[in-house]
This record gives sequence, C-alpha cells and structure tokens, in this order.
Amino acid sequence: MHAPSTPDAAGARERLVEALVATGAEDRSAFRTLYRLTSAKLFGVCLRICGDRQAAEDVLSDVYLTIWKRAGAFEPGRASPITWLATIARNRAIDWRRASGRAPPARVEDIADLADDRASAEDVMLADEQAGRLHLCLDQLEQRQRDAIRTAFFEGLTYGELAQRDAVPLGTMKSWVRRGLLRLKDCMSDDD
Amino acid sequence: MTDPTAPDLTGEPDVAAAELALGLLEGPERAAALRRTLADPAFAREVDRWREQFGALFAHVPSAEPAPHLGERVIARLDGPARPAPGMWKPLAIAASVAVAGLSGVLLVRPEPAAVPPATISAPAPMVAAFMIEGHDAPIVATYDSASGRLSMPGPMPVPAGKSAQLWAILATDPAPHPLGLFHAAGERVEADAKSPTPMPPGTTFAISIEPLGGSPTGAPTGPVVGSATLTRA
Repeated sequence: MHAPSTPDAAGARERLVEALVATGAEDRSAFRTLYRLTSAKLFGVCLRICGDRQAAEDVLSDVYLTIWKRAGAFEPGRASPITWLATIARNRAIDWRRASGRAPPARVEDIADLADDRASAEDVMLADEQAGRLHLCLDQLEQRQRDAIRTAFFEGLTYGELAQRDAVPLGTMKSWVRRGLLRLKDCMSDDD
Repeated sequence: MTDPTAPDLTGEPDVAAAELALGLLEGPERAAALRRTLADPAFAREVDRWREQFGALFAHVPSAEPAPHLGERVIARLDGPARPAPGMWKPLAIAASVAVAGLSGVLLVRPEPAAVPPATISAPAPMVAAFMIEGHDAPIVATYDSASGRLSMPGPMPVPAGKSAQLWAILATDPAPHPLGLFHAAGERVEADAKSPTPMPPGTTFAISIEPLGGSPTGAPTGPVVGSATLTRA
C-alpha cells in the first residue's frame, strides 16, 4: 500500500497538474482531459457520501462546474492535484447531504484496503504522498479514535453525528477525537 | 458548552485546524474556526496541511463510473448561469462607486432614493444571519432569500474609499471561502448577490471582507474581514 514513488505515479500527477492548470486558463480541451482522468475517482467520493447514484451525479456536475471556476486558484506547489479535486467533491457531497436533510449513509468499515485491489494511477499517486505516515500514525490510535476519525473523513460526519451514531454523549465523542487528533498531530510531525 | 461530560480543554494544544479539515465542527465552534482561517494565515495553512494529509485516505474510496453522458452535460453547462462571467462585478462596482463622496476616507454605501425597491422576502422559510460587524455592539440581522439568492441587511455599510465590501460564504465543510457579490445599496438596505450552485444550508458561515474596488482579484479574501455570521432558519 505504501508504494514508493514510481515513474507512473509521477507521470500521472504531472498530467493532472497540467490539465488542472490549463483548465484554470479556461482551456476546454484540458477540462475534458481532467474530467476523463478524474471523474471515476470523484464520482466514487460523491457516491460514498450521497448514497445514491442520481444525487451523486447531480453533485458531480456541480463539482466539475466548481472545478472549472476555481481551477485558477490551484497552486501546484501547495496541494496535490488529486487531493485538491477530491476535497471539492467531498465537500460538495457533504453540503448536498446536509442541505437535503438526508441521514448519513450506513456505517461502513469495509474500505480499509480497497486501494490495494484496484489501484488506479490516482490511487497510486495518493498512496505515494502522505499515506505511509498517515496510516502508521492512525494505527497508533485507540480503535475508537481511529474509527471516529475515519468515519468523519469518509462519511463527512460532524461531532454531533458521530456521537449520535455511537450513542455516546457529545462531550465524550469530542474528547476521544480531540485526543486522537492530538496524538495524530504529534505523530505526523515527528521527524519532519 | 455546558455539557457536563465535556473535557476541560483549557491549555490543551488545539486541534481546531484538523477538526475543520475533517468537517467535525458545527455551529459557533465552526464559525469561530472559520474566522480564524480568515484572520490567521498560519492557521489557514495548518488547515490546508491537514487536508492534504487526510487526502491520502481518498485512495481508499473505490472509484465508480458516472453515467457516460454526464461529462458532455457538464461541458455544455460551462457557459451557463452557474459560471460567473469575468464581468460579474460590473453592476456591483457601479453601486460601489455611488459612494464616492465620504468623510475622512470612510464612505458609506448610501441608500439610493427610490432607485431599487427594498428587497421583498417572499420565500416560505427565509433564513437570517446575525452579523457581528466591527465597530457595532449589536448584531445586524441580514435576511437571506434562497429563492433569489439575495442577502439583505439594514444599511448603510461603511466602506473605505476606493474599496468594495464583498460577501463570502463558507459552506458546511469547505474552509475555502466562496466569493459572492459586492454590497450595494437597495433602498434603505444594502444587498449582496449570494447565489450558490448548491443551496446554502443553515450553518453556512458568511463573512464580509474589504476588497479592492470591484472585488477580490484572486477569488479569495485579500482584505480585512469586518463581519461574519452564521446562517440560521428564521
């Protein structure tokens, strides 16, 4: 899972940065390329949070319109392109879920190692970047802290929703997660 | 706040940046963290850093193919109303220039007599946002009409000479402020265009920053934040 940097991943990242930067200059053909390279990943992110295909497709359209508008603000040196794009998809999907008043999707703990099974170029890119350290550090947390942080990320749950899902008081949930995030922060900044 | 089981976090290192990157916070805590991203660049960078770090987890979300026609549909919409044209600031810039005669460098977006009828809030469930504005002790309550996408509040609004007051929305989980319109006079009130491609849910944070005339050139706030509010149901 903690793949070393490969020419493949570097090439994929470079192509993506190129397409994203050109999209920022309103280049439609670059936008098409960007869509082709990333729509499956971004749709996966929307689908996971929205829970149904129709909604996820509507959100995905908005995601790409947002990308078209905001691509000019992407700074290649500051953010990884796939994380930047997937974050827009995640946020739009969560906004949709909250605005529509839908309950968060059912609990899922099954996505631990899916990246190994079907590693696209984007996944290799992601695995490349921070994953090694992040996984190492998440593994050092208590199970319930790790679960809460992963659920918050994958499903877009707030403290309130996490507490409700686990039937614990809000303060207890905050306390668990804050302690977990503190340990994570320490661990991530070790030997930087 | 009065939850008896809440730990006393006084003095503990703060993890608000990570909480914001994950989207854990709600209500006043979230609004406070968002204000920090606007006011404190180091904090904003820390949020970015966390977002990058957590971004590695996207590798675990399985890809899925959207409907084949979706890409073309999106491309067809690129020039649609959801795409703000480069000239979107124009009518607002004119409104801002109405306020070109001020006292000691501070201009007011003054009511234009009978120019525009006051905003009518006709949506069945209007939402409100109580702005804390610098220099005001009491909150100023703005109404947000989700049907017209207009945010309206009692005027006038102080704006420094040669500057515009711009509205920003920070949606539920996205710390990046989305640029909205510039404030302009509308009868006794001031208004800003607050249209958004997805409906703005309660909990959305609004911020007002002082920008170069015509609005932020970068798409992100460049000037001081003079007010902020959280959208709630009326």
